[in-house]
Amino acid sequence: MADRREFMKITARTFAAGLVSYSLVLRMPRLAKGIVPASGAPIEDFEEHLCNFVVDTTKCIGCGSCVRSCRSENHVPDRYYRTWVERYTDSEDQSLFVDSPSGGEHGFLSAPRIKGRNPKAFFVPKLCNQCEKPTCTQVCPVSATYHTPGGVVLVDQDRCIGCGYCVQACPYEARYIDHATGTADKCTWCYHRITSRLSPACVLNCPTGARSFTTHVHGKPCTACELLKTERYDVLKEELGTNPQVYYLGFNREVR
Amino acid sequence: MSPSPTAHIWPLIGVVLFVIGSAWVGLRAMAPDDFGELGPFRTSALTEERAKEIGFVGAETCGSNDCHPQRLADWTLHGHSTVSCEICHGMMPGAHAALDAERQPALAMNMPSGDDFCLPCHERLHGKPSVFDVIDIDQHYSERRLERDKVGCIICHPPHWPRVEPTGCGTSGCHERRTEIVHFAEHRFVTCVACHGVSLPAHALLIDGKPSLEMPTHGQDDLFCESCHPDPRSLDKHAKVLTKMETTPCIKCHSPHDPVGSARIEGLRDESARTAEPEGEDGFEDWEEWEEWEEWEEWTDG
Repeated sequence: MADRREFMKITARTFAAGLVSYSLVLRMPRLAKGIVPASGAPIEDFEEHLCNFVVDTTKCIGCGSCVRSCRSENHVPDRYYRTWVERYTDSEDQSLFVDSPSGGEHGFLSAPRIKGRNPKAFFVPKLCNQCEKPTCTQVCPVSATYHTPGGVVLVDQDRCIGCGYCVQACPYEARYIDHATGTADKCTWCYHRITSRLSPACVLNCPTGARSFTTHVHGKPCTACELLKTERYDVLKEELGTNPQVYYLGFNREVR
Repeated sequence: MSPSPTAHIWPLIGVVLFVIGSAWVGLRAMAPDDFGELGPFRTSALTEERAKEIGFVGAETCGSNDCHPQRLADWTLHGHSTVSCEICHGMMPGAHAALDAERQPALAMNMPSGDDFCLPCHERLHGKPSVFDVIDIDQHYSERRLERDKVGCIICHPPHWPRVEPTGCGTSGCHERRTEIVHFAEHRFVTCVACHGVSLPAHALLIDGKPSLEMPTHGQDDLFCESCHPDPRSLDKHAKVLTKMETTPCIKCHSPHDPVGSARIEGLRDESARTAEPEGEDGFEDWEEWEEWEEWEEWTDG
């Protein structure tokens, strides 16, 4: 009994001493310096903004310029897509046909399976919805993907272990594993551009203005908000409760 | 003396505390320094994301720094004004903006070529909005009696001023009559700009009633015509005038603004065509055509 008591005492003392010395020696400098961004970049400025991404599907011509631009700007590997364009076609027999050859990167062809000469059809550009309640961040086991205070969901390439849980969790199929780096990747709304007051590459290079991106400061006038007050719009898979932040004008109920 | 009923709890609590404590210390030790400052992530990850290189610079940047200001001014006025430079010319990395000693960019911009580049936007396709300019490519060429592999889109539609309707030139009392004539002639599908070069805003700016920049007149030599009408000598219609063609430029017989109508004047059309189509005595269909020819003759003689 005496040996066991002695052992417990020694263990408890060692643990307490380790805890105190660790707190004092290792953590104190950080506690003292407070919350300071590593590079002193004006993060606060951007975090005060809200981002608004509106896609007007009635203007999209399916040219694929956005997909190509995204690939160039973000060095997206071949056969992977951060953004892509789908075409929904309602044929005469009421069956739905969806196609997206190569993500619409090189445009579309007339679909041979369509019955009827002028089927109802429209293009829907897709990208990460930067959900307010994202499922991808919830399943990440190493906190490598996160929701920034500015409202964009990002991936920390240094921490990501490439397990792929987030790829499976995303209901919008917006994520992929980049096999060159072994990490998850996704659309960031061109975070490096929007924090420099530039439009995302896909918005800049949309020839018809189908995509629009604006930012506004909390509580200040917002052009996109005014647009959404007057236009009919919808979001994708609202029933999942992810609060997607890409607003779509002019698509049909079939779009998922 | 019986043992305390709670004696066995304490070691257990100790072990639980030990495990929790070690986990806490371990997590703290392994987590990066700046983890958790703004949320459950590294603050420097945000900075790294921001520091990524910006690729597309936008049309305003292309038109600044004495690089392409005239192009930017044209671009904002005409049919492709919503099409940013880099959609067609590609993303220009910094090497393009770096100029060498002769002020030439170290990296030339991409020049798209081939109809395949235009078609993803402009080919008729179900799903495209009805208000957008689309064509059925085969019909488009057959209506104009052109061959796809010989005449590319940009011959008639200069990319920086692609609209065919010569509305810009025919308004403001400038070239109203000329555009009217062209509208009913064979070359109605060809933009003014395709032959005359880009009529810059400087051309439309009048000083003492005259344009501050003269309109360039192309098409003085046969090579220009042959870019759309290759090998004219092989045409049956030209069989009778082959010797004359050696010395006479195309535009002597074919007024560029009304190439077929003007050809009738010289009596160069074959007899079957002459009998098939009723014409006036002098070979003109109407007075306007005559006027046009007179004007043309004056110009060529002058």
